[in-house]
Amino acid sequence: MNSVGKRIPRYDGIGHVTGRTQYVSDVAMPDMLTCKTLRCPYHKARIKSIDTAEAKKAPGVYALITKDDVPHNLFAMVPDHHVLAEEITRYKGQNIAAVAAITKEAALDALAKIKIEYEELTPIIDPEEAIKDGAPQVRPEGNNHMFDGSSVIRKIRRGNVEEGFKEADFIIEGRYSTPSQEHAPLETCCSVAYVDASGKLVIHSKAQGLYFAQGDLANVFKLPLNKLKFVGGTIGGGFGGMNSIHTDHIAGLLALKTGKPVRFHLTREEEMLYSTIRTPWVFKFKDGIRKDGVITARRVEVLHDCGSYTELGLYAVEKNANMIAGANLIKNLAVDSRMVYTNKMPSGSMRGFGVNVGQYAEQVQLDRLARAVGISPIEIRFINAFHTGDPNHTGNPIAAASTIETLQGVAAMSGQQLSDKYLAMSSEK
Amino acid sequence: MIKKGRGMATVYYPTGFSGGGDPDIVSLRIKTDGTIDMTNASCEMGQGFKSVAIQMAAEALDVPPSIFTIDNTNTDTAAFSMDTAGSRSTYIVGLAAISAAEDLIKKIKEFAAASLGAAPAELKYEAGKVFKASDPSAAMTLAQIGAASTYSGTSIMGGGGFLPPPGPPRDPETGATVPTRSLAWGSTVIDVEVDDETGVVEIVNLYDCYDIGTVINPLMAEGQVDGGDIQGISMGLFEDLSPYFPKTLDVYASNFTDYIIPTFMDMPRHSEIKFVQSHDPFGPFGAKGCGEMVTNTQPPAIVNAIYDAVGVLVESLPATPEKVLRLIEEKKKAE
Amino acid sequence: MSKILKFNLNGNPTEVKSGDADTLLEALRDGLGLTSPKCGCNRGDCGSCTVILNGDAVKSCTVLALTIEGKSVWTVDGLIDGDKLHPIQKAFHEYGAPQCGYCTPGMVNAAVAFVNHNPSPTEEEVKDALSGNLCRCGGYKKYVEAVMAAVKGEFGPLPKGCDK
Repeated sequence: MNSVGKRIPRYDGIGHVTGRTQYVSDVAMPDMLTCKTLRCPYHKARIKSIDTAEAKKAPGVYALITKDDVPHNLFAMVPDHHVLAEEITRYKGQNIAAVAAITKEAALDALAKIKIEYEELTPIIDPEEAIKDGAPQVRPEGNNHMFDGSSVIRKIRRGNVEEGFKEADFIIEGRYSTPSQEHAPLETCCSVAYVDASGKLVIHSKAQGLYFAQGDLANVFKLPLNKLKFVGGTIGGGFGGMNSIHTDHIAGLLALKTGKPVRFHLTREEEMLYSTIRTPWVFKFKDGIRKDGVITARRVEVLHDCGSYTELGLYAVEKNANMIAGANLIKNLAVDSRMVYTNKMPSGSMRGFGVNVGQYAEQVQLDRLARAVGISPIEIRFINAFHTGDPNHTGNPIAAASTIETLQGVAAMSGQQLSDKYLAMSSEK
Repeated sequence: MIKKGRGMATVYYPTGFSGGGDPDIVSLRIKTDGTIDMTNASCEMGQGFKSVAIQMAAEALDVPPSIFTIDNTNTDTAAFSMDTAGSRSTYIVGLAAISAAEDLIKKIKEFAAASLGAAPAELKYEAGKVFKASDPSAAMTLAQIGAASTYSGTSIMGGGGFLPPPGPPRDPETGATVPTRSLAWGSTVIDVEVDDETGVVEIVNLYDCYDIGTVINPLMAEGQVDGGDIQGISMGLFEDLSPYFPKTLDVYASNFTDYIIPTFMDMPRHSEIKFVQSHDPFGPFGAKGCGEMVTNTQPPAIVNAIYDAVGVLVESLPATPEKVLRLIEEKKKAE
Repeated sequence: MSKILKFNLNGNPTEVKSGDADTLLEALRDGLGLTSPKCGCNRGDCGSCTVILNGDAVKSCTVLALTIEGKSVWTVDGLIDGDKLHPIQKAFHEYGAPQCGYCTPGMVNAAVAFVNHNPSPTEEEVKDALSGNLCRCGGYKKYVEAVMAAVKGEFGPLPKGCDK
């Protein structure tokens, strides 16, 4: 092959090293307004009243919008997230009102003039509490609601785990958890929106999926796709965070309202405190293992803290359920993966999405099993490895398996001696 | 005292969206000088999408990557992309590019047939040239085709797409379905040093052996792996937005002073990458997805290495010095 | 209050209007429209805004614009000679060091200021010198390899200082 496999430097690399590459946050337009938003200071609250009259009259203000100014106030992959908060807010930092003004200072001054009365409500932030009966409800449909209308549990069932546990010489249990993480791309989220000469709304966006964002926000703005153009494709890092919309919707609404270019650029603090994150997960494993190192049965219970809106949470649980049992052939398997809503910022997608969190738990548990049986970490991985053609946990045959080859490779790299038995193994049966 | 330990992890990762059904489209257009304009609206966020997309289109057309330009800049002019996520771009855009290249070659033959006095089926395409199979001297270059077609008002645009076949509906009781046809695989060994008086963990050696199928561009793939290593180390040792969750959410990081991500000083002292390239039967030129799997092995390998070093098991990430130290103290108390 | 500041930017006498509280980063980006210094945190944590001030790498978001009167500022834009890249820029590109590229202008400036002071550093010295510049995409490894290659002359002799 002449091109594939070649070490060719980055197509846009000269732009990067010369500073010529233009990111969304570098886009400046004449007469551009700055957007700032009023964010809810409580984890959960009822907005009893909001009076924006004085704020709208503040110097330098071109527009101030609340939920009533949004043509269709729901967005996201599962469109349940409010562009601007309704009566009940669900997380700290949720956008309530947005202002476009001539300067950042004018925008912040205007926000300070909004008269708003909150009733602070009891939030629920611990997913293991939120899933219990009688827990405060994050949303009217309940804390375990699945938006696709399916069962609240994503299940995997293979073989018979109870029989598998009977075959085992050791039963090992483990509980693992992972925290909230921020994507932290070096370019914080930014949108620049304006209405062009043809009347089309143009949004310079950090979206990882320009067409996805366009389709989603066409519903919010109630615009046909020929009146809404997304511009982007070069961004200062994403890591999944830009699969969720943080600024495009509000910048677009304000550009439509004012007829002027509007920039909405999150500060680092806003991005960390209020944008989507990798939310916490809890994993409980119960494994049966035989003296020869074969895993005879595995039961996994997963709880995904989805935050306050679905965003990509439902999809994360599904992907997690498929992968949580790890790169091992396990004949008797039961997985129950579920998600629960809590009053924190919504769960977005983040690199390793729903999988790496589970693989941390699974791979630490696997070493526990090896210790119980008295075999080495690498042996247990060889013994239980998938081969090409084995059924995956979802039942479909595995193509081009390589656990064995990567183990052989990493053993050679790190100077681990392998017995002839493992050196002779292959993923092809 | 500094205690040494070794840990490992083995993972696999699906290529593309779970359940399939996520299409992409590529367009290819010959310009009047024979250079090629490619479009697809995937996002370049550092992973090397543009470089890799061009290399695959160039391979499919048997021409050098240097004659391409790529437009991914907007929804008015760039061909549809579902999203840049799920370790899907190399795989799905690559298959779409192959399909677009086949379409372009078909249209080149149809156009050249009249000029070369042959039926399209009598023509061959190789390395940017179309010629009569029976008489290779009767040939047209891409530049000739680009100019002749454009100035005769003939559109030659190759278009193609790829849809990963949607899996059957998931069985709600057993989970049976086909989430993806292609999987990447990987194993990592990490050597650590744990200071049992401070709980500080340092990464000494890191060895990655990954199968991402055919590596389209090793420079970009290594970049993904290096970056994945650092993000994985960061997840293993540092990152926690709300360290007192679920007790409270009100202690919350809002900057890079409180939310630690690695610097140059946190690099492994030594790291190595090896790709074992199995040929994926479905992927473009045998390639699989890469972007996400490369950040998965490090947290468990580190936690397993810490256990090997000091005999404590970190059951909640990250393995901060405070957490490691408390576990060591508890262990001493129990002994 | 705003004031007209006179300073030298990339070898050229330059004037910019600056408010009392403006940072050097704001003066460059908003006052002059020079977008190569990036804003990643606006509090000196990330280094995306690094420029070379009187020969030293500084985080321009932590420098008050009013203090640069009469001083010399170099940014990545001034390191190119026609279309000829500085060896550090060439090395970063060839070694595939930048990924998304957002940290890269700051990283180039930090590296150039460093090698101007220390033209034959060890790897450890390079890591130490660049440790105030965060990169979220890459593994830092290729940046270190690239600086080491550049100081060894793989991409031609290093210029002495920023002036061409």
